[in-house]
Amino acid sequence: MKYTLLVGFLMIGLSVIAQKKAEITFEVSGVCGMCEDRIEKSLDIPGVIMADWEIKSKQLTVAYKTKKISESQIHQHVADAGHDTEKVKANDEVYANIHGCCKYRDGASCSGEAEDEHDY
Amino acid sequence: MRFNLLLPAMMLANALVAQNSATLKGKVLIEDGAGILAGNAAGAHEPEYIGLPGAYVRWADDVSSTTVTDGFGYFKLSGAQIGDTLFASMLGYNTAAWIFDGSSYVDIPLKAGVDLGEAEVVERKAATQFSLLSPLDVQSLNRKELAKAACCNLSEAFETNASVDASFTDAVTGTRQIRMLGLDGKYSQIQVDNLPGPRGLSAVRGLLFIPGDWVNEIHISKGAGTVTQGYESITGQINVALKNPDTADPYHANVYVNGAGRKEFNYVSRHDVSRRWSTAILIHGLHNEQANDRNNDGFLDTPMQRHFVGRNEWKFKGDRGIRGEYAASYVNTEAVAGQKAAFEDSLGWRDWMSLMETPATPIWSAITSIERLELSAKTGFVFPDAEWRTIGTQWNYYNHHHQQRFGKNKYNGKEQFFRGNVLYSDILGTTDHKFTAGATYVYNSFDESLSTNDTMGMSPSRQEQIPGGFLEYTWSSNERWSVIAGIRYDQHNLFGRFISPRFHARWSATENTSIKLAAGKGYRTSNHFMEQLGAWASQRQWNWNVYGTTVPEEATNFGLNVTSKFRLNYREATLTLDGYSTQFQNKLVVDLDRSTGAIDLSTLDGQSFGNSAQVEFNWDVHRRWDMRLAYRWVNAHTDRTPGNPTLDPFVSRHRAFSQFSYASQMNERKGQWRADMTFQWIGAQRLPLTSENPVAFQREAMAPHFVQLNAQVTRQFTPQFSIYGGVENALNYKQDRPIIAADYGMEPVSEADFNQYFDASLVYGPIFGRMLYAGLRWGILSASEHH
Repeated sequence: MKYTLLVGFLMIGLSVIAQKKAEITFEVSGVCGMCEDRIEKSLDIPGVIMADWEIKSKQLTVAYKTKKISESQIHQHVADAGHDTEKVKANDEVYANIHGCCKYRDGASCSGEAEDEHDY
Repeated sequence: MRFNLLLPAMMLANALVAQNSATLKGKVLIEDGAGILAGNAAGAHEPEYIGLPGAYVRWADDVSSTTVTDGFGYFKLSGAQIGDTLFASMLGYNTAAWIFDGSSYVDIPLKAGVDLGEAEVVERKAATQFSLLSPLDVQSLNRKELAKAACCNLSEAFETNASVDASFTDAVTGTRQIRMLGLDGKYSQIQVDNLPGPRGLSAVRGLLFIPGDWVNEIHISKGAGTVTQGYESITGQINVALKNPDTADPYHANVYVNGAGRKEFNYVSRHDVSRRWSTAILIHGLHNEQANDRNNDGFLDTPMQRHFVGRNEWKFKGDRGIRGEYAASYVNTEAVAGQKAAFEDSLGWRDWMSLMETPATPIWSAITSIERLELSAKTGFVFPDAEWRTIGTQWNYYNHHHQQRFGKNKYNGKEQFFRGNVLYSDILGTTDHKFTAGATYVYNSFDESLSTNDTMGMSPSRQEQIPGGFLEYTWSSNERWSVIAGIRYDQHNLFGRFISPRFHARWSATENTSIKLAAGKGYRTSNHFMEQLGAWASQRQWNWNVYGTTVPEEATNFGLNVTSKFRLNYREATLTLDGYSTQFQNKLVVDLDRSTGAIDLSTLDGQSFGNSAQVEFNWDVHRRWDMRLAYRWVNAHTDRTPGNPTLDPFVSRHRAFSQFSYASQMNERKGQWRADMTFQWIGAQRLPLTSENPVAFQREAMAPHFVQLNAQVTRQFTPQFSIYGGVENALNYKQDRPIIAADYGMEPVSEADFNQYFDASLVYGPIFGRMLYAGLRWGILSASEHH
């Protein structure tokens, strides 16, 4: 029983690893831990393996399966959540709806309590 | 971060105030003056507050309710509904959120800075955290981890943990004993909020006094541990942090039922009474009067019980760095078990409990009654100009009364315990060199009596008085290295000096890999009757070969731990390897092998050791999947007679453990599905010898290995409300004929045979089989609760 499980698990693992993957890093505007949540959550979608945004550097690192999602789609998803990326600007309507402390275009700044460093 | 001036502390009722809309008055405050040290939870200055004019206040769900505070910071808002969230905001300050709880007035302090907002929800934080930086080998389990086994008390909270083994409940006591590093739980120092927890007469049963739903976090530290809390840690320290006025939700309630007829209720609430005082109320009730006998051996598979635990804690945050925590707890437990025939339906609970005094012979029954009162006070002082300099005092008292009658053996035990502990922490020059010094005084009295029909009774009693002192030094000047070295000296009035050196070091080989070393010595004094609680469920007679009534147990422990965090397929993973070795210099040796009719007790003559090794792998496989794989090996031997090492009974040499957790994407109301599955394989365990019994009453020398599958599904509708259901032992594994000389329908057992061979203590696996359970959690959450 335990061996079946273990072997089964390993096979799933291998098939996951065998797929074609890429990792990209680009800048995304944002302010605080709340922005981090929003940015990373916007990439909680099929095809994205890992998304990690760092408050300090504003760099978003994304690992994804190239067959399922493209780089430009990733930018679009982040912008749709209200955050400007290097390639796609968030539209004003979405931007207007994000929380006040996250208004990166209007000079909001963060008191820096970014406790959660865990990825999505 | 809310202060509620007018709410009377104990007003439980205000949760239930009718949902009429009410008017709320309040004041928005800011901290006055500079000089406020930032961020340190230990706190330094207690700020003064002044009103803030011109702040915006509104109900979260109704923008049109927005109002502005007047020239003194006061506001008035109508349309208040319990559970509504109030926002108070001002440019340059963090927006504060507060949940309306029915009070008519509220003080809302704002902190300078930019709002991180209510939505700063940490939705995915690993439930079990391994620290790379602490020199101690500490594993922290948070509420999320504890919720994976939605049950019930501390002895069951470790089911999802690979480092702590939980034994299986015997049919009589209903207690799961825990083991760390392959040795009995009594060799681990279990603390509650850094104060002595289950120990002494409650070393085994005390785990039941800590309801799982009350627990905020559990910190499991393998190896010797710190010296500041006494000499009693040998294999490790388990510190249980209960929900307190800072960490509890404003209101929380939980109901649980299972297929064995167990019904539980938990209630936790916290109330801010004034700016300085806050309180938490914790209530737990358990009721089970269902007579289960699935294997038709005439014995109850699970004890029937009534159990109540209540706790009230007060927290004080004074000016100029004074902090205080004051708590009172009360436990009342009644339990009955044994042959079903003793508990006829026509009789009620009182009649069953009265079997304590007047047993219905020849029917075998076990009646237990425990009453316990516990008081504690902690006061700390942080020096205003030097936040690294603190003085703390811890005072702890309990009175424990345990009565039981198991068959012919009637036991009455009373324990009184008092401990005062004073700690002073400071630095040597810089914060690279810290030390804690202090003094402890312990008074512990035991008054026990055992009487049987057949033999003379015994009434051991003793008084322990132990003054002691300790010094602990922490060196952390280098990022790659840190060291904690401590020594304590205790002068025991019965056993002379106890010297406990402890040493912990951490070396970070790389940024993501650390190696930890632990070495130390610990002591404890034995209480054979209550530590061998399971053995009472038999016809064995206590056979005492020890001079005196208690043994000062003494052991050294060495360990090595390697923890590495890395990315696997882009996602976080942790690999932990550890090995520990415990050598006893003195031990109470319990021999169940010499005769099936005796429990032989003696001091150690020869050697006794426990070696263990563990590999644990945690991987955040996917955005919604986590997994954990672990394997644990133990080799524990004790010389029953010199030069005759015997494998410790009821310890499986091998145990493999796996856990898979799933959490769905949250919907817009933060609703979520969660599922957890724990699958483990428990290797063969040695059972006490039964070969001198007649064949029908013999059991294997080694119990068979078996598997356990537990699964649970939780539906969170909102963070405030969720329901869960699950199954334990899903594959329905049952120990074969768990009770020796019970009637398993093969041949009738004569009364004489029963009186000679009956033994219900040889439990290595589950007796009850598959068990379903369900429950719900409801609560009002505080806005800042997700930190």
